[in-house]
Amino acid sequence: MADLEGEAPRQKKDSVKKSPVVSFLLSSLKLSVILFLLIALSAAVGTIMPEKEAAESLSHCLGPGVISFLSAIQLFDIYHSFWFFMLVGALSVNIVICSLFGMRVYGRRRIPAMPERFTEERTIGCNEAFIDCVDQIKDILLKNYHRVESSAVQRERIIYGERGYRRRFFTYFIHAGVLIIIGGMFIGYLYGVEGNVEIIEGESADKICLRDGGSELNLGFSVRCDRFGMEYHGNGMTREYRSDLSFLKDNNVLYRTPVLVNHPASFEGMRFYQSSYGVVPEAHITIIEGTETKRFTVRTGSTIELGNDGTTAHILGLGDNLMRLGPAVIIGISSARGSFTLYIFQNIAKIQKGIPKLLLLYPQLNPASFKPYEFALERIETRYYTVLLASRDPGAGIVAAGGICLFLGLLTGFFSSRKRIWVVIDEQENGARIRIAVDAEKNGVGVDRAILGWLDSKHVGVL
Amino acid sequence: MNTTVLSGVPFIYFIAFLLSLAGGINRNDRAAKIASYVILAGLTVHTAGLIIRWMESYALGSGHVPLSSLYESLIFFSWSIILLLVIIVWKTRREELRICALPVAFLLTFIASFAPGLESKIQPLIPALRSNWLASHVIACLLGYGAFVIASLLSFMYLLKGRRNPGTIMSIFPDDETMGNLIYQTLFMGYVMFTLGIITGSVWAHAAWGSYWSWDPKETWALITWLIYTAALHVRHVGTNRGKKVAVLALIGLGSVLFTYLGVNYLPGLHRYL
Repeated sequence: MADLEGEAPRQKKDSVKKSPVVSFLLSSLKLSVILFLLIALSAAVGTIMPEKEAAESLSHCLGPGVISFLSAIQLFDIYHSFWFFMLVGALSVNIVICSLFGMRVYGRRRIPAMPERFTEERTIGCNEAFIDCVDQIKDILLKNYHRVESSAVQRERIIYGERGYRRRFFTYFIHAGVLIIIGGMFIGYLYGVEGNVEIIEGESADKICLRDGGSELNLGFSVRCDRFGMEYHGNGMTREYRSDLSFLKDNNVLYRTPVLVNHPASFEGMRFYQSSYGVVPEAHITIIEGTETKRFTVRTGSTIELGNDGTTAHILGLGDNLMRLGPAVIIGISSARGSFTLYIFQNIAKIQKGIPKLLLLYPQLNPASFKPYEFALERIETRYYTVLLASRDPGAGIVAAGGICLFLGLLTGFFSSRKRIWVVIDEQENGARIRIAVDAEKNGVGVDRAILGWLDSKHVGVL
Repeated sequence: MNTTVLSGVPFIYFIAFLLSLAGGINRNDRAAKIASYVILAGLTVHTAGLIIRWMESYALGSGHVPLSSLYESLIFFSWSIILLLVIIVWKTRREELRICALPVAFLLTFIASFAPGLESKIQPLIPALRSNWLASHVIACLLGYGAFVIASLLSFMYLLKGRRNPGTIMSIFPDDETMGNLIYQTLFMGYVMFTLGIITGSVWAHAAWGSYWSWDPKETWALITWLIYTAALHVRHVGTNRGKKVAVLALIGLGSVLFTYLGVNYLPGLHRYL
């Protein structure tokens, strides 16, 4: 089946005299194996190391010194650490040099070293001249093998045949694929962005919170969540999460699309994924000032300007059942007269009926206690917000190309086979001794029938 | 219905194992021949069970390939081991392989059907799994795992054989060179499948999680497994005592496969399902 870097162990000897120590080290296949295992080990350590934040909470049992040391050698983020990059970089250089040396050695070597064991050993009688015997074998090999080489040392002839030798290039495909993937990942690491954005139904956002560092990135367009919804299976399990999004520029909708788990949307190079969702309570309140009635929709944290003198109403909280008295909104008023907190209940009239002296005892429950304004809570509703993950990765296409290259290389290696044969012919009196060695990875490891037939046709003499 | 059919499968494999053992030890060709038919019967029932389960999931309205729970993945894992066994034995005529692989398939199907607390009911798919990539990703990975398991079993026999005197039961296994080639071929087969599994997984992650690679523990352990097998395929060309090195790495790789398959679930990450 596959023969990865068949020439590599020999190339070491070839390169040791001519190349400097560094290139010798980097071109060694042994080093590749060590690097594979080192990278695997580092990655394994990475899966059991806690995140930095979690590790800091362990500092009381490990000691802050240990934590800062581990942090200094980037053990809490191994996959982006300097030394992990160095390992991957060393592997890349190693792959390049191994491939280059492999090519050089392959081009130079005419007949590669033989396996230790001969598959077939016969002594034949030759009626014709020895050299004719050699030519006949060579003819058979030429018919059955792509590449045939021969050499002569005194009375010994070696004929070498190789078929499917092009398949050795599959290793170059695989190695190129791996290098392209590493390159693509590095580009993604350098230039990719990833962040989150939360959008309440009906609202839009034009910034995302970047994952690392918590800084914000301006999208250059805005995304509106028109609707968020869920679908369910018959047994109540969630079947689908769905956000209907509109992408806008200068208030013009340019693109409308739903985003579902497993179905992201893309706009101007930025991809949006359904990541999570949540609900946010919202209060509809009215503020009456004399004869004027104003309606507002507010959430915790909203601020309403109550006039031109700097008086503001800040929404401190919303409650479905505050103090067991039903829905309420807590409003913090700040004005020149001072700061007050008001508790505005939706059912204040009903509550008052039950406890007539309530407003006297607790003026902060009186919706009209801050003159000239009178507050009322109409209702509290909940609204969905969708959490989208936004990412842009210029390296993804490169990684995909590398993946295809890698897999095509593997397939070529898997479905093609190489067979090599060495026929050693010693001239002897009245005949020749023929020894045949075969190296094939697939089944049917054996001497070709054509050669066996030829051998059988010769008179087998005992010399 | 499907679970009833599938719960019969481990017993068929157990019978096939006993027959193969008898065939191997006594050089009884008849037992070996019957074993091969019993294995084929087992595979047929196993396949039928999977298909019935698939059809029943449609009848329940959720309609998905049976590859989404621990039960389903164990059933498919054992199915892939038997399928590969049948193919490899057919291609190489190495019937002694059955003696290694059948107990594993028996164990996996037995655990799936009879382990207490293992949910075997068909569950509808959660949104994250509702993707066309589910089938290709899981099939490629589990076929890869299956080949790795067979390669590891061979490696175990290879190492065991090296320590024993000839004449023991180990003598039914071929010589070191043939074993070495067989291990290498099986490893390479698993490697191709598993690479495809990782690639399809990345494509899926790109569509579902926003990034083709997130260093999620399962992804990372898949990479670790891949690297160990990469090393195993390369040590074949390095230094002396190569067969043994490949065998040792294949066994380490199996540990990594098991951790990737099951152990990772105890680490926090995105692959909360299997």
